[in-house]
Amino acid sequence: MSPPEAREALRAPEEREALRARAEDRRGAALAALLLALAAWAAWTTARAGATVPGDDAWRRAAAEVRASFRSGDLIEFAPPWIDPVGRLHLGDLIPLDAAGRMDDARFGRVWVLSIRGADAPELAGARPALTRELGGVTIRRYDRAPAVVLDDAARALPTAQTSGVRARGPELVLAELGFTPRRCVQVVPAPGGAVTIAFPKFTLGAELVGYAGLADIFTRRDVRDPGELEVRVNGEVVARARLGVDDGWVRFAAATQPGPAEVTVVARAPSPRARDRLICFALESRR
Amino acid sequence: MSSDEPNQAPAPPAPERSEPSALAQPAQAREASTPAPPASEPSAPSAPSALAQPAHEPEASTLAPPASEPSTPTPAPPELARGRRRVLALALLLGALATALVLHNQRDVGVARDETVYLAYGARYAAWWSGVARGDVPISRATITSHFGGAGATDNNREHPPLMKTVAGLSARGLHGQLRWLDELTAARLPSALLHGLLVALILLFGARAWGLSVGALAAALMLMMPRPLFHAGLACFDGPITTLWFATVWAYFRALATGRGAWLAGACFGLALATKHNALLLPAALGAHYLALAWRARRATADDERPGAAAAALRLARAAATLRPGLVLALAALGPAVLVALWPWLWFDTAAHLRDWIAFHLHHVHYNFEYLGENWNAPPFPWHVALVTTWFTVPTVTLAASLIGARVWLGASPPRDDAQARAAAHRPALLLVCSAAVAAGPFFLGQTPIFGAEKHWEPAMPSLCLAAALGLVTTGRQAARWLGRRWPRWRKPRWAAALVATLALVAVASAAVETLHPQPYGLTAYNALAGGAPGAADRGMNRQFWGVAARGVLDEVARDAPPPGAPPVWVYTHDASPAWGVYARLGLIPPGLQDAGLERAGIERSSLALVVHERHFARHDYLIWQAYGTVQPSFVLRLDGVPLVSVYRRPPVPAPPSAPASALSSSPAATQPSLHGDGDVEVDATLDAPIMGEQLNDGPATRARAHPPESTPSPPPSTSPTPSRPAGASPDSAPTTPARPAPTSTAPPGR
Repeated sequence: MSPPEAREALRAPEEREALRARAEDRRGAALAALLLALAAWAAWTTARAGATVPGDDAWRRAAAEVRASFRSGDLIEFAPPWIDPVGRLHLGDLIPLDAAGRMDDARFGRVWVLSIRGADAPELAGARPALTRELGGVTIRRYDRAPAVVLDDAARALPTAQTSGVRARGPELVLAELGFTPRRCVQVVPAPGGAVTIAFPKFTLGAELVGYAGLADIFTRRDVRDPGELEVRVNGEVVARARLGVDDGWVRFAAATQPGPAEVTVVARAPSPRARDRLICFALESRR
Repeated sequence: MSSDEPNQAPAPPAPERSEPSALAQPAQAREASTPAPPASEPSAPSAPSALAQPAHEPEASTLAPPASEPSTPTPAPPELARGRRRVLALALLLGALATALVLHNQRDVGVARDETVYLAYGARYAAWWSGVARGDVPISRATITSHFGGAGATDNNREHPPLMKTVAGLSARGLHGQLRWLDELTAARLPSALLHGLLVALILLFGARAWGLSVGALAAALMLMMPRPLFHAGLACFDGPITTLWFATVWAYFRALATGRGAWLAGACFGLALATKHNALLLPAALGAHYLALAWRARRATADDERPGAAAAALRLARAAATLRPGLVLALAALGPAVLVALWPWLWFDTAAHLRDWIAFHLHHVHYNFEYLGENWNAPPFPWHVALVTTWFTVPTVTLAASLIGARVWLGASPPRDDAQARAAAHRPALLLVCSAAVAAGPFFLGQTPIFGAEKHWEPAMPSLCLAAALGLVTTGRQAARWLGRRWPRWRKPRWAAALVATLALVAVASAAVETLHPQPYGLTAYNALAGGAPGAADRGMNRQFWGVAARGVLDEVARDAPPPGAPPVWVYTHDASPAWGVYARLGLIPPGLQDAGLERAGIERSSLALVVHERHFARHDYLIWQAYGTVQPSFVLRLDGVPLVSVYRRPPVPAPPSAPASALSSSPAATQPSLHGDGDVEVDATLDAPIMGEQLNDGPATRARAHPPESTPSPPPSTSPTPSRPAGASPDSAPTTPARPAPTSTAPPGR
C-alpha cells in the first residue's frame, strides 16, 4: 500500500465524504464558469454569424474588380458552392449558359474564383493564381493557364449523329442536373435492359478524348437505384467505359487517341430490366 | 392539469423543506452556510447509478401502491397548498408566455407545404363535425369516407390522424370564419401554439415534482428557448403537438405512478397523442421499459419464492408488473386506443383495415431528399449518427452542454429533498425521461428510418434534454455556491448562493434565447454556435430548409412586379411555395394579379418571375429557369446570415437566342402534376427533367426586370424601394436597380 493509499485508508468515512464533496464542489465551480463562458461565446457567435459572410457591398466591390479586367471567354466560379446564388446575383450576366453548364474548366484559359470563408474551387487546388485580391471578405483569385484546345465535341456533332437501339427518349442536348451541378450534355434514355448506340461518323480526334457522364435528375435517381453504363468506341474499338451509379455524379473518362477523323460511338446502357428512367447524359470532347 | 402539483405527500414536509420555495431559496443554498456539504446534495458521480439503484432507494415495497395512500386527497397543509399554487401559477405564466411567443413568432413564418394540406383537410374535417353537430350531416360510411378516407392511400389525407387538423379547422372556422378575431392562418395555428404553452407548463410540473421547482422552471424556460421547436409550434402541423402530447402522456404516467391517481389522464393523453401523429405508436415502448424496470425492482416484494431460472424470474416480474399500477396499464392500453378511435371517424368502420393502412403507409414511406453532412440522402442505409449530429447542431449550445452535466447527475445519486421528491424519485423520473428520449430518437439510429424531417421527427426527446440541462445547471450552480462559500464567508449566505444559481440560469436562458430568436422566422435554417450558425451549417453541408416556408420572405420583393388593376396577370413560378400561394393570396400577402404559373417546366415557361427555394436537390429548378430565361442571374437573393434561402429570377425582356443547334434540341413532354400528400415532398415524374435549352421562349407578360450594373461602374446602394415588413433576419439584398441591359446570350466557350 502506497503512502497516499494508507492515508486514505486511515481517514474516517465522514472525512472521506467531506473531501469527496469538496472535490465535487470544486468541479462544479469550474463547470459553472465553463457554462458561463460557453453561454457568452454561443450568444456572441450566433449574433455575429452574419458578419462572417461578406455582404453586398463587398460583393459589389469584388464584382467591379472582376468586371474591370474580365475578358470574353473567361470563366467565373464561386466557392463554397452555397454562395453561388449570391455570386450570380452580382456577376451572373458574365456567365453564359454554356459556361455555367461546362463539361469541365480545361478549355478556359482564365478562371476567376470568387470565394469566401477560406474556400477555393477544388478543381484548381494546387494551381497558383495569377492575381489574388481580398475585398471585404471576398477573395478574388484569377488563374491563368494554357487552355485545352478542343477540336470537336459531342454537342456540336449531335445533329449528324446516327442513333440506334430501343430508347425511351433522346438523344437530345440538355442542360441537366448531374451531381447537383449544371451540365450541358447529350442525354439519352435507353429502354430498361436495353442499349442505345449513338454514332458520330466524322468526329475530329486529337491526342486525347475526354468525356464525362452521369445520371441526370435527382428524383429518378432516388426512385430507381439501378446504374447505367456508358461505353465509348473509336472506329469500333472500346476506349473507355464508365459505370454510372445513382450517387456517382459526373464521372470522368479519357482515352488517348490518334489525331484525325474517326467514327466515335457512344453506347448507353440501362443494364437491368428494372433500370427505367436512366437519364444517361454525357459530354465528350476531343482535345489536341 | 392536476390540482395536486406538486405531489400529494403522505406527510406534510417541514416548511423549510417546502419544494416551491426552492426557486427563491434553494435547500442546497441554505446548506451552503455549513462548512461541509450535506450528504443529500445531488451529483455524486461515485455513488451508485440513479438509473439502476440509487443510494436513497426506498424499500421495494413502496413502489407498489401503498396501503396508506389515500384514495381521496386529504386537505393539504397551508404551506404546501401555497406551494402548489405557486408552482401552478408559474407553470401557467410560463405556458402563457410560450403561447404568446409562438403566436408572435409565427407571424413571419411562411406557410409550410404540408401545412397547406392540413389546413385544407382540417377545414374539411371541421365541416363534417360541425355538420354532424348541427344535424345537417348524417354519420354514415359514405359521409365519413368522403371527408376522412377513400380508396387511395392519401385520400383525404387519411395517412395522418385527424386530431390537430380537426382542431385547426375548427379554430379557423370559429375564430376566423365566424368571429373574425384572427386571420385564417393564425387561427389555424393557435391550437399548436396553445399546446406548446401546455408543453412548457408540463415540463415545469414534471421537473418540480422530480427535482424541485428551480429545475422545473429552468427546464421550462430552456424548452421555450429552442429554435426549432419554437418554429414547429407555430405551424398548423403535427410536430409541435406530438411533442406536447407525447410528454403529456409521460407526465401523466409519472404522476399516476407517483400518486396512484390520474391513470385515466395518462390513457387520455396517450389517445390524444395517437390521434395526432404516428410517433405515438412508439410511446408504449418508452413507458413499458420504464414500467418493467420498476417492476423488476419491485419483484422481491411480490416474490414468494426464489426459484432459479428465467421462467421463474419472468413470472416474478409479471407478478410485480401486475401489482405495481395495473390500473395505469389498463388505462393506457384501453383508453388510449379508444380515444384514437373516437376522434377518428375513419376508424369507425373497417377499423383493423384502416389501422393497418395507416401504419403501413409510414412503414413504407418514401425517402425524400435530404442534405446531411455534404451528401444528399434519399435511400437507406442512412448514417447512424443523424439524430446525434443534428441535435448537436440545432439545440442551443449551453442547453446541450448543461444536459450532459445533467445526465451525469442522473447517473449519480440525487437524494430527494423532501418526502414528495422521495416518492417521485422512487419512480425513477430520470429513467423515464431517458426511456422517452431513447424511444423518440431510437429509430433514427437504425439506418432505415427516413431522415428527411431532421430533428422534428425526434422532437419528443427535447423535453428530456431540457430537464437534464436544468438539473445540470442548478446542480452546478449550487456546487459553485458552496465552493465559493468555503473561500468567502459572504457567499455562505443563502441569498448569495441563490443569486449565483439564478445568474447562471439567466445567462444560460439568455444565451439560448439569442440562439433561438436570431434565426427566426427561418427556424429550419437555425443552427447553433457549435455548427457556426447558418453559414457554418452551410459549410458543413447540412440541410438548409424544407417545406418552402422561406418563400414568405420574398413576397414583398415579388409584389413589386404586381400588375396594375385590370392589367393581365403576372405569372410567377412559385416552386416549393406553390401549395402555399393561394393561402398567401387569401391573407393579402401578395397582391392580386400575381398568379401561380404552375409546376415544373410548364410553369417556368409560362412565368415571368420565378422563385427557387434553395435545397441541394432543388438545384435543378435553377437550371430549368436558366434555360427558360436565358440567364443565370437572379435579381434577388433572400439570405439568413448571408446564406441563400430563396432566389428570385425575372425573365429578361428580350429572350435569349438559342445556344445550341436547333436540330439537336427537342421538346419535352408536358409537365405532370406532382402529387402532394402530407409530410411530403413534391413528387416529380421522371419525364419532367426534359430539355428546353435553346427552345423558343415565350415572352410572357411584361416584367420590370432588374439587371446588373454596367461593367466597371460603381454600383448603387441596394434598392430602397418600399419593401415593408421584411422578416427579421433576412438580408434585404437585391441586385441594384439600374437600367436594364439586354439579356446575356449563350456564347460558345473559347477553344471551339
